[in-house]
Amino acid sequence: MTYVAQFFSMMLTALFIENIIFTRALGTSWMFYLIKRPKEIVRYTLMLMAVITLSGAIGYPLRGYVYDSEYRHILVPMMYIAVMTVVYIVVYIFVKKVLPNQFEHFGMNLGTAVFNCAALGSVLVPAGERLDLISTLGYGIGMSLGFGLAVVIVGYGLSRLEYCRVPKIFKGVPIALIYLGLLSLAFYGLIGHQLPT
Amino acid sequence: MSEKTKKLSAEIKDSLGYLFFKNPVLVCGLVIGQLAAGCTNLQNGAALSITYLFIVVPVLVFASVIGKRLPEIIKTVSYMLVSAAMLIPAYYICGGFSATIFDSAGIYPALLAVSTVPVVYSNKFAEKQTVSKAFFNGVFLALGFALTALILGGAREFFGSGSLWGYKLSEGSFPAVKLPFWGFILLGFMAAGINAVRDIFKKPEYIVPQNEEERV
Repeated sequence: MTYVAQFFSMMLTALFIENIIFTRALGTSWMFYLIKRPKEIVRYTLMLMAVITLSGAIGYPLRGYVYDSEYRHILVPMMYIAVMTVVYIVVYIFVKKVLPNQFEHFGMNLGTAVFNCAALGSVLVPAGERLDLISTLGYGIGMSLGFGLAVVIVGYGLSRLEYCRVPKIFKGVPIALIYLGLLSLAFYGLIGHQLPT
Repeated sequence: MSEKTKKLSAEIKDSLGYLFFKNPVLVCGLVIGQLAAGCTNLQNGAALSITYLFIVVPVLVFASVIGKRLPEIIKTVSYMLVSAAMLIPAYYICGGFSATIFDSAGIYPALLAVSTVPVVYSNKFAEKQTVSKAFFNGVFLALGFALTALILGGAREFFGSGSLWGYKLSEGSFPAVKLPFWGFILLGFMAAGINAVRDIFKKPEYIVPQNEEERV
């Protein structure tokens, strides 16, 4: 029961308090890509969840070998990129052989679905905080759900902004970034943070 | 001017756009997260810029040289491994400036290894380019990124703690400017600044291409 509580507590922390987009700003460019393709959101969120969970689980026993090194700032990410490479090969073969329809959907984007800042960041943060396996997995799943949530919220807001009279120089990337910043600020306040003084 | 020199200067001219009017961050919308959350002072901006240069140039050149000859699964893996390996020289070069700048930027320099350019651009663009074009694209993409990172990092450090590169310049400070939401907002205003300059010089809007064929 303790493990279940620990798992869900970390999941909710990652989903709301340390949201992958609004708090950590991981995978923002990828989010903007997905907003233009709403039908892909669920598929990519599930893929992100699978990649984070597998990378977190495989990397967990390995990180002990590199974490005490004085070069951990590069060794830990390099180790996780190597782990994600293995995950990519497994996912590529699995999707190609078992889910050929999905393979066609992903096409060349399968690499992007596996190797992205959201996935690497979601395994590096728990590794940096030396969370145990249950917390690492809970955190990873919460991060991926948080990513899906952020894509939906930001996408909805940006679609509404298309009907507003935005000054010409703010159209496109500028208004999207400012809107994301304001949403991030709202999230920051919503979860009870105070601005530093 | 020989044909080769003409070709080279055309490639440089084409890549030069990445500095400003085709800026990878402010116009193309790439690598936003690393800057919004990780670039909170000038030193972080420098660490991120150096790391980006060391990752992007070798990966694009590598993709241009052997990308076409490799099956998809192998080439994606090899780009990522090259990209991860380039963290080592970046770490040592950053260490030459200051012992702690790479570490103080947290996980963000390492995240550049899996950013859009090494993962997507190498696949969709660099593979179909000549080595020199991929090289110049890489250099100017990195310089465009560096320009944004240094301005953003400098502004956030100055307003957030009243200093620049650690040297105290003023007493007043506004620490909230170092939080990610301010990063997004400042980047938004910088992007609007580029649009304003584009408007003044009557330059056409840059439509981000999805592959090399569209770009050419």
